Amino acid sequence: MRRTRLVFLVLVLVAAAYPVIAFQTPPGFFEGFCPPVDYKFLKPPPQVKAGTPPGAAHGDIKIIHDTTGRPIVSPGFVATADDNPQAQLSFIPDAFQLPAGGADEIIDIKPVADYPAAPGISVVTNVYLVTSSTPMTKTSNLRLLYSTVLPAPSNIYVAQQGGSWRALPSSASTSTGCSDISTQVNSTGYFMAGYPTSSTSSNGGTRVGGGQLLPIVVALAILIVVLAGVPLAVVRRRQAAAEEDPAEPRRGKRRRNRRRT
Amino acid sequence: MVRLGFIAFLVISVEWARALAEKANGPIPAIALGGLALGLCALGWRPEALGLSRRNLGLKLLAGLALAAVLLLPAAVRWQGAPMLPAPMAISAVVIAVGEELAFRGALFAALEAAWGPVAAVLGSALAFAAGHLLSHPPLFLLAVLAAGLLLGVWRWAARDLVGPIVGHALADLTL
Repeated sequence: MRRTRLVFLVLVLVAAAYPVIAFQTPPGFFEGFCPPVDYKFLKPPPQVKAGTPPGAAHGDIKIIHDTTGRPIVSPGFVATADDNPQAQLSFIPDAFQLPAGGADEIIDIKPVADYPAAPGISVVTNVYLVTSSTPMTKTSNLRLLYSTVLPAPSNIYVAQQGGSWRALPSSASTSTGCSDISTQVNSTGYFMAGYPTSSTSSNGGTRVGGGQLLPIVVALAILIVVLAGVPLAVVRRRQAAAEEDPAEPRRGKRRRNRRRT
Repeated sequence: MVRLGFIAFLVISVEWARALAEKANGPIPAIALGGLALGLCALGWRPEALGLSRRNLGLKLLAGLALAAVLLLPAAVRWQGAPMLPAPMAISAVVIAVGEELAFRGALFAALEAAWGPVAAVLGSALAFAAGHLLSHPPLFLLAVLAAGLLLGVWRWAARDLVGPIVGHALADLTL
C-alpha cells in the first residue's frame, strides 16, 4: 500500500513538473526532429540576438527556345544568399512574360523593413519583396524558411504595394522538413509567413510562463496521468502479490480473506 | 557495469551522430536511420525486461494516449496552427520516437535498474535523454526535454511498461 502511494506521488510530481517546465520555454517547443534553424532576422524579435543580416537574391534568367523554336524564359530558381536559403522562388519554363529585346529576365528577392501594415497577423519571418522585370504568367513555387524559436506559421501571406495582406494556401515542404513553408504564387510582391494574431490574443496563452492558464494545465496533467495510472498500478500490485505467494491460488486467498471478515 | 557504460555511450553517441547528420544531410534520412540505430540498442534484451509485455495491452495503449495528452498540453494551449508534417517526416518522427524509447527507457533503463535500482534508472535515463539532445536542441529547451524524460521514465518504473511511453512519445512527435 505504501509503495502504491509512493508510485502515485512520484507520478503526480513529474506530471505536474513537466507542464510547469515546458511553459518556461518559448512557444515553439519542438521535439528535436526539426533541427534548430539559425534564422537571420532583419528585425530580430526580443528573444533573438541581432546577428548576421539576412541575404538577398538576384537572378539573371536566360532566354531559351522551346521545341517549336519560340523564345521563352528558362526554368530555374532564385534563392537568397543565406547558408540555408530563407526565401526561394522556383519556376517552370515560360513562367514569366518574355522581356523585350531578348534581354534576360531579372528576378530579385530582398528582405525589406518597410512593407504594408499587417494588422491581425503575427509575422514570424522577414518580409521579402520579390520583383521581376516582366510579369509572372504561370504559377511558381515560393518557399520560406522560418525560425524554430517562434511559433510555427500557418500560412504564407502576400501583399502588393499599398495593398492588404492575403493568406495563401500553404504547406510544409519536404525539402528541409518542418522548418519551412511553401505556397504557389501567381504574382510577385511582398511575402512573409505568419499566423492570425486573433488566435493568441483571445486566449492569452502564448505568454512564456503560462499566466493563469498554468494551474489548469498542471491540474489537467495530473488528472490525466493519475487516471491512466490507476488501472495499471492496481494490476501491477495484484501481480506483485501473486508473485510473492505463487503457491497459493488468488481465488483461494480471496476466499480465505472473506472468511476472516 | 561494462554493459551499462557501453549502452549509455552508444545511445548518446547515436543521438549526437544523428544531430550532426541532420545538419549535413537533411533531417529525414538522418532521423530515420538514427531511430533504427537506437532501436538496435535494445537487441539482446528480453521484451519483458524492456517493459514490452503484451499483458494489459489495451490499458497500456490508453496510457500512451494519456502520456501524449500530457506531453502535448503546453503546446496545445499555445497552439497557433501549423502546417501538417509531410509524410516522410511523419514516418521519421515515429521511427525516432520508437527508437529513443527502446534505447533510453528500454535498454538503458533496464541496465541502470539492474545495476543501481529504480531511482538511478529513472534519473539516469532522463539525464542521458537530455544529454542525447544536446546537439539537436537549443539549451533553452533542454530542461523541458529532461522533464519529459522524467515523466516517461517514472511511468516506465511505475507501470513496468514501455508501450505507453512509446505511444505517447510517437504521438507527441507527430503533433509537435
